[in-house]
Amino acid sequence: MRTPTPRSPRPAGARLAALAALLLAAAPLAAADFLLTTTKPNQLHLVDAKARATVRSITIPGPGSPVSVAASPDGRIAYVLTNRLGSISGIDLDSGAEVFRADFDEPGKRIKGMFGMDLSPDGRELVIMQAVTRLEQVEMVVEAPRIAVYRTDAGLQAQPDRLLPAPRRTVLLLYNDAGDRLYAVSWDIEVLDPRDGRRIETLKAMNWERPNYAPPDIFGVWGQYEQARVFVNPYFALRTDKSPDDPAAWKTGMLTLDLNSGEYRMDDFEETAAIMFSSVVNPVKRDEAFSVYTQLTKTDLANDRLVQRVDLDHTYYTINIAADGSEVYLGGTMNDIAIYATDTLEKIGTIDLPGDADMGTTWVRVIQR
Amino acid sequence: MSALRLVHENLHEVGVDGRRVLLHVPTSALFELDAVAGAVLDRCRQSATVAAADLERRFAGELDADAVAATVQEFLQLDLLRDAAAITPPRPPVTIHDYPLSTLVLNVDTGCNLACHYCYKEDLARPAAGRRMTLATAERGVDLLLQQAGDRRRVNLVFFGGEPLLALDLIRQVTDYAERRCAESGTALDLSLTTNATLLDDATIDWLDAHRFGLTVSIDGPAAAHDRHRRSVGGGGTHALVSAKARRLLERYRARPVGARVTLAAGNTDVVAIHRHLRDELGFFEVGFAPVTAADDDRLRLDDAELATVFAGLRELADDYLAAALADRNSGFSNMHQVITDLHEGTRKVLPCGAGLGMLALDGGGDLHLCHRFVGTEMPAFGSVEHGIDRARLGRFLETAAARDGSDCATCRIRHLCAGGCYHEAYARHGDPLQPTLHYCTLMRDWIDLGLEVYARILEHNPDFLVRHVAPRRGLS
Amino acid sequence: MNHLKPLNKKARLFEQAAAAGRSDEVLMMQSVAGCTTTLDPGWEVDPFGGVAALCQPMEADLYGCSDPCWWPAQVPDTINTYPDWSNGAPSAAQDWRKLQSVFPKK
Repeated sequence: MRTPTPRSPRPAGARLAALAALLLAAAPLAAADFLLTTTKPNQLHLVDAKARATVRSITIPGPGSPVSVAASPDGRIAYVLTNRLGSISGIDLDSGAEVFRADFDEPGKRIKGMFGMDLSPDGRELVIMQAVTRLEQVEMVVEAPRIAVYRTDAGLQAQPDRLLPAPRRTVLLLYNDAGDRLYAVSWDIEVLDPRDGRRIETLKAMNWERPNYAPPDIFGVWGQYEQARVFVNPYFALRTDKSPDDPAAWKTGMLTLDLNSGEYRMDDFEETAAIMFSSVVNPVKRDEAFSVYTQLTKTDLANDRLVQRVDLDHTYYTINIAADGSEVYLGGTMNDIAIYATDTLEKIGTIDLPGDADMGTTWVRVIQR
Repeated sequence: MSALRLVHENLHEVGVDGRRVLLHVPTSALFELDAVAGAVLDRCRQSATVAAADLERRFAGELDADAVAATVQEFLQLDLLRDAAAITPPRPPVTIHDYPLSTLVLNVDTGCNLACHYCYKEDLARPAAGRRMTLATAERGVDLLLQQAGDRRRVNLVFFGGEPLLALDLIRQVTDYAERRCAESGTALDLSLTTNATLLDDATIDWLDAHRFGLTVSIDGPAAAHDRHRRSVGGGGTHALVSAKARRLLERYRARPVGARVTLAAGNTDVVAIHRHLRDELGFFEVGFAPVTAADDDRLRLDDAELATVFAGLRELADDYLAAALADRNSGFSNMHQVITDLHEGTRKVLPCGAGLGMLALDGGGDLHLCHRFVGTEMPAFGSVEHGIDRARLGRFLETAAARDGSDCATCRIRHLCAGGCYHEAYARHGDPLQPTLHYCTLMRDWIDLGLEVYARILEHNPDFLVRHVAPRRGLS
Repeated sequence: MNHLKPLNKKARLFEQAAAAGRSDEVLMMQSVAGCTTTLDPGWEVDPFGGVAALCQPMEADLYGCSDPCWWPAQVPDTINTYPDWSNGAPSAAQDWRKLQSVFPKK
């Protein structure tokens, strides 16, 4: 249901009346893509993707530097890792009010969220990866990292419902579609039970047992898997049976984890020719993946080959995709979201976010409202 | 760098059985110098500066050049040698922001049923006239302790007086309350008490035992020594009673070892005999000695001759301690045991004790003091249970205490083991708690040297003693 | 320490610190104690040995890397010590001239 552009919070009755009026005016029934992202110092933006317009900018309370962004399944509440990795703020996108707040620090302990953040499929729980440092009088002591699980109804002084032991160096957390598995992307991908953190399985990544390959370099700190429900990330590996001077020694591949079926693959697709920071799978053509950095790359996951690569106006960190698979949204780094057609990789639009402020490492999510 | 100079204030060497033991003063690390390091150190001592090239020349043919170079590097790393031309930047001042309490001393009663000559308590009263702390105040003290303790897993509650057992009912109630509150917050509780022992009976002993109190009995030695100064209100000696009570206590008490605390005042200098009586005859686990805290003109003060006798006696006890340690026994001489613990751990103090930092004392009126000794003095309080800790003043006090640069302590070789000495001792002697206890400096330095010798010998001949008897006990800082 | 034999625990800490090949886990990546503890080189030179594959332009990378403490010590620590360093300069490309040096507080 397309909602009218909110200028100020309206009481529910007025909103329903407005919706009813729109229905009578035969507004389209399909939910539309909205982008959800942040800029410095602490702005949250709701962007109508096809209209190329920011419809709402909300100030996230407190000190900013927002990074991770996740949304409730109904697209109403945005959760942002903010306060210099020290807190999560949950913002109602309609009213602009903060409805959830978790500040991580405990007495004597500095606790930072290490990017990985996700919402359970039923929207009831929120997980965040935490690194804990105990501050003693003349030293700092590194304590065990953990996954903090919050109930999303915990309000403005939320405390974790439970703490799960976490593999160190976990930077992404992803629920599977059923909600009974939590993937913790660390050196390997640990498959955990979200109820108690029990390790069910390990999907080897950096510790892969590939003969004649060094451990792969996998860099991925962005959550953008919601459209196809596939986590995809580039990796870079060196073949140890070749001389490092040989271009054929360096391989780029794609790691994919299907959050519905659990299927997991790591397949090389080219001799390393470009750096790619993050990727997204086309929900409509699921063998297509798009990756971004200073080029936009399109790959064929089924046949493990490069399809097309174009240079970009500047470096982007993140990439997300429309529900109909027609266009990709490049974000992160500076102030603009660039829009490219997925079939031709032509640039077809730009959205300049309000405030002339950088996105930095923030995530760009796509939600339906 | 072409010329090097020895940083004298950072090193102190003692010879032990032909070995050269080095105390690294800035860190309290202890090293043994090998032949090369010893030779290099000796050469550096001979002149104000030494050129690196000179060192090589001096030792050519005698010592391996690489070994000399490596030693110089190690000395530079430890800041025992410095570039002679370099200007040493001033050390940043110590700033204290957080001092989560771990210990609260409750002055439960200012009344005492004894009238020991040397008691430093300015507010001491007859039992009937003593100020008893109310339960409400004590409970608020416990609340403050838990609130301030941060995420410390253990807190300590100490009962003091006067004679605390005059307020046994209160102690029971406070213990009850504290145990409940600590159980709620999952914090471990440690209880302690110092007593003159005269009010102990079986029921009391058993109750203290059940709650695992750490007990210290104030007792000065065999009858003649004890009765010299530890008198009843009526003026009579108390040894007969106190020793009988102590025996009974030591028979029945199982929870923890019980210590004796001896005050050495004028006339009482035979520490060896005192130790033998308390440890061997009565059965205390350990005995700690403290010279009386007294003003300069106080006739109770140990004069210089008596102090010398005392320290000679402490030396003898140290020899016994060493002999026992080599036979894998603890002779129960707490003064030396504490030094050995500090040397073993490498304790490095910036402040002489935990007063104000991890410990505060609460008086009957609800005011907070640096420690139990300051209760009843004219030294202003540092807050109250009602208004909280006066952090600004307390912080300033502690930061001043920690700032020894420019003072006599700045270059003293035991500055990180003594750190200026007891505030109350300085207050009583000099009227100023922040003045270092200079009257004890020479004795303290000698005492630490003695500790270094004993430690080095234990390390050489029975290092297991340290594992079994020293390691489990945490040093004071 | 070759010529000074450690005797007590404190002295052994020196030895441990000096010894090569420590087997301790490198914990620093997960302890945001200050940005200098993040060990990620690769800002000066790209993986191909040149600079063409670094972020383009450099300003695109400034906040993305410094805010989450990714870069080594070229910028102030904006997570713990100098959180206000980039106040008033939200766009690196436009506002970089406003960024100031920082100095230790007295």
